[in-house]
Amino acid sequence: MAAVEKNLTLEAPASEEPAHRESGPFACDDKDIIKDGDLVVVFENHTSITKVKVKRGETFEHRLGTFDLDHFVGKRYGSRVQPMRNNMNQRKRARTGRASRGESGALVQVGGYATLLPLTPELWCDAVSRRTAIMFPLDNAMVVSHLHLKPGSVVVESGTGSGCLTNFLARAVAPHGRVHTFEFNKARVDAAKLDFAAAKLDDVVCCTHANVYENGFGAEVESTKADAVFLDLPAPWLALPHAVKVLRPFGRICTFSPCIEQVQRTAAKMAKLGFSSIMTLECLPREFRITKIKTTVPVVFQTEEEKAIVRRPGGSRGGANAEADDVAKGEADEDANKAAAAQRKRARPERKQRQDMRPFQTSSLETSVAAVIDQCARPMQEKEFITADRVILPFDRQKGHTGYLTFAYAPFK
Amino acid sequence: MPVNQCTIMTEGLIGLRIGECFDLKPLEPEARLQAFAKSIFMPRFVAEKEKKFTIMGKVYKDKGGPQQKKQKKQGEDTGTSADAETDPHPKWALYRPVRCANTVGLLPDASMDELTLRRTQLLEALNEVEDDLGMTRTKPADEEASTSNAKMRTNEHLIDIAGRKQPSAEEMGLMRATMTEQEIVDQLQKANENFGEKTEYSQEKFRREKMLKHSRKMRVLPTNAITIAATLWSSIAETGMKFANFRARDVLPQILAMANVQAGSRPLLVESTEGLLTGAILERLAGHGRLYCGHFDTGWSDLRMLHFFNPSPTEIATLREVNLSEVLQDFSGEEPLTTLQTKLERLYEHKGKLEQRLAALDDSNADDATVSAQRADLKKNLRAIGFTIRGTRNKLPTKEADARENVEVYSELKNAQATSLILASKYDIKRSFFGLLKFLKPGAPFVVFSEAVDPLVQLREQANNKVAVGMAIQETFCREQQVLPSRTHPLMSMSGRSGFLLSGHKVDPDAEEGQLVHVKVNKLAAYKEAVKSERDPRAAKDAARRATQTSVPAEVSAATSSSE
Ligand SMILES: C[S@@+](CC[C@H](N)C(=O)[O-])C[C@H]1O[C@@H](n2cnc3c(N)ncnc32)[C@H](O)[C@@H]1O
Repeated sequence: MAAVEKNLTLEAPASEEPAHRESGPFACDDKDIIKDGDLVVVFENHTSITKVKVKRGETFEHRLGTFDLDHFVGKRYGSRVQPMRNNMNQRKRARTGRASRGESGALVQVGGYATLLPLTPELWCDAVSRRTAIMFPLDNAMVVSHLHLKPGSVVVESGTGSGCLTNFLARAVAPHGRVHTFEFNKARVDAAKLDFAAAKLDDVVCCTHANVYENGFGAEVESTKADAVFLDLPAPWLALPHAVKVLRPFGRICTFSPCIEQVQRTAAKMAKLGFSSIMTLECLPREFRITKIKTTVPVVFQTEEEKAIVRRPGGSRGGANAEADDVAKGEADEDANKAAAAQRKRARPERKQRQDMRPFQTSSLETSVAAVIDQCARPMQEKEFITADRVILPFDRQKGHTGYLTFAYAPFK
Repeated sequence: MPVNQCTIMTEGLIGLRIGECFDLKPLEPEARLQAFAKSIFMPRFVAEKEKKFTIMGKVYKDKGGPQQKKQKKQGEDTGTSADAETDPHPKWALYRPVRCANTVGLLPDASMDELTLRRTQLLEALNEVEDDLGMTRTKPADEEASTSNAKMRTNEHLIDIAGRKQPSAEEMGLMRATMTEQEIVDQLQKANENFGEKTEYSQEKFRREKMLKHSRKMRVLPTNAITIAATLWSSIAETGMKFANFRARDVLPQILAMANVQAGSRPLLVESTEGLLTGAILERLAGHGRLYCGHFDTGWSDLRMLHFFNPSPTEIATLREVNLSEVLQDFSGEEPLTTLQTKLERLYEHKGKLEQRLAALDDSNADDATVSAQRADLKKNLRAIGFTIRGTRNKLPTKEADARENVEVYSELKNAQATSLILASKYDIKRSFFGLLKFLKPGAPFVVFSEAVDPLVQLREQANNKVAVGMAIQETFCREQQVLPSRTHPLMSMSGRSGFLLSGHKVDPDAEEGQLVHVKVNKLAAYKEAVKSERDPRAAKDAARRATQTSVPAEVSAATSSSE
């Protein structure tokens, strides 16, 4: 605790200055130690990513438990933290009706932990409270690059939605550029404004409440012109004439639509309005996981050693799902002995488990059939050799691909 | 003459704005040579013909190999290659335009005055080069070519190739030189026997594609990472040349995004993309922040593509080429400077001594032969030392600047100030990653590109959650769609090989160990102890002692944690 206090007093004077910075809002150049008022990401795992504004004296309710935000202040980014109270234990206690033995009397922080990370637009996509359908990092990265954005560019976006893309745009055009983002749902505008303020994006992002089909992007932006326009709207073609007005000659445009019918209408309208080099892309990320799968080796294909291993009496059963766990530890090069021992462990319990599973009440016919199957199966199983191979598998559900991106150059007048 | 081997006059393009069109005219060899010479001084540009054909004006530094041979062949008919070989100035011989020599575009906001100034500068420069290259020399091969060209011009415009399947290459060249694209396509349509049998859609497609192929209208594009990459990519597709096996269209944007590159950031990059990544990052830094472009051992980063980006001086100022081997071997950047300075001090000291001795000899007034010989010796030594001192002193300012830069960069890296780590290189992936991770700020992102998935898998297996969190291995499927009324479909050819990216965030390696407790480990241990203690009183005491220790080392918790 003492260390934390010291850090704080050290940190206090420098932090408040909204000094003139030549950095993007997400540049981590000055982010070493977490300060009061920082927006940090609490990363537990791929499915549990949240963001929180660090405030002294406050707590933060998390899936894992309650975090004391005082603990965050003075920690380095990339540190790991644990909650004060532990939700997992509480749940367990509720279930078993008694305190768990392990924590008897000890005043410890227990349970899982999370890592504190600086906020990036990528993490934002995971941490944001989704008010609308959002765009995912791959599409967002494509939009930023193919709109040719760089620091100083002026870009117009509609609709703001949950602000996922807005962050990517802001990161690319900061510090001197500008993102004008338009949204016609008042509640979403207000929520987005709060979000942008929390991430200190105020001097880059300007969020306006307007219906762009009807009112376009406003006289002010139209007079200063934009380098690029991005549209994620149900009917982008209705906003295209306004886009022409707001774009500088040969500026870039991109529209995002989930349905190919929308893309067709948009592309046709673009061609009509004089946009050129119209290109439609479809991008999907394929993420992989490293895992182990079990395969059975038929007796005829078994080597002599394998047969010997199968015959040998083995030890006790290992962890039930040990093979299914994703490999996170660097134990690729196990020596052969270990592997063989593990093999023995695995070969036996397999049979035991199947026997254990059988004894439910069944009709006599089913029982007899089961007995036959059992008899046929057992001798084979005794000789069965199971290999556990490390494999690389794509995830079943991939984050991303919700639509098509259509890019073009604005008319050159 | 296919578009991508066409040389176009650069001068006519100066002053064009981005998005403006120009006609691609085949040049006569003489003019082509001039254009080539000029291109040395020209900024680069990118132009495209309805997105299918992109060309890029560039000068190219040959490094030998099969590519060079190919270009030589190309050069032979233009006459440049012969010139290059006999050229007394090998410096120029190293450069040749590969696609087309020219310029423009890069000054979208430049005023007319700037452009005229630039133009006069370029023309002056050109005069010098022309002298250097001996442009006035006549080249027999060229003359032949140009006379035959002249003959073509006098020919009837239309060449009747009806009834034959394909015009010969020679005829094609003739047609291109003399006819408009409209006429060419008419001719081709006539020549195509089954054109009439085609469906309406495919007739249209035929005409559209042929128009595109024979059109000479080009449009100037902005020069940036994406247009450059697109041009390179299309050239790779054409020539079969591999470009670091890197599909820039979708992988480049992702690397920039995952590595959180923006103004003010300080990425550490090790690349083998010949400068494409470097250029793309410099573009995104726009003069704010720093790019540590690392290389190992005695090698240098190969940044030959960088000049296509026309990087401004402020952008270049953010580039720091770092010899990572030196940094890793704890080489202090000050060393060359201090050794130079001490050397200089010693030299001065020595010089002082010699002068004293000389003075002493002078004072002694002795005038025999040995003394005069000594004196002559001393004077010779003094002169030699004077030279060495001057030489060393001359080296000092550059060394000083170098050293200042090095000290800065080295100390920044050693204090883990890189805000992201990007690896896309030929170096061993696992070792580079673990070796360079220490330069990265805790909490900061890293991206590793690999053509194959295996090295990334090995890396991922070794990087547990004490090293990094949020790690993901992914590839991309990126496909272009043809969007036309009733004819929307994916484009025929699609690259199925994006390469793989591993991304994640570094964990603070100094995270207070022992503070983290894993409940599962704790409970299991306590349970085991309790069971033991029921049988063995000594173990019970042990267990009691252990129970008072409130924590289990973090390794244990990390190893058994289910949170990753
Ligand atoms: C799918 S969301 C955009 C999501 C956003 N790109 C993101 O990544 O978070 C589309 C948004 O457009 C807004 N919208 C629809 N029609 C609009 C209009 N005519 N003018 C302004 N906003 C509109 C909707 O309210 C909705 O929030």
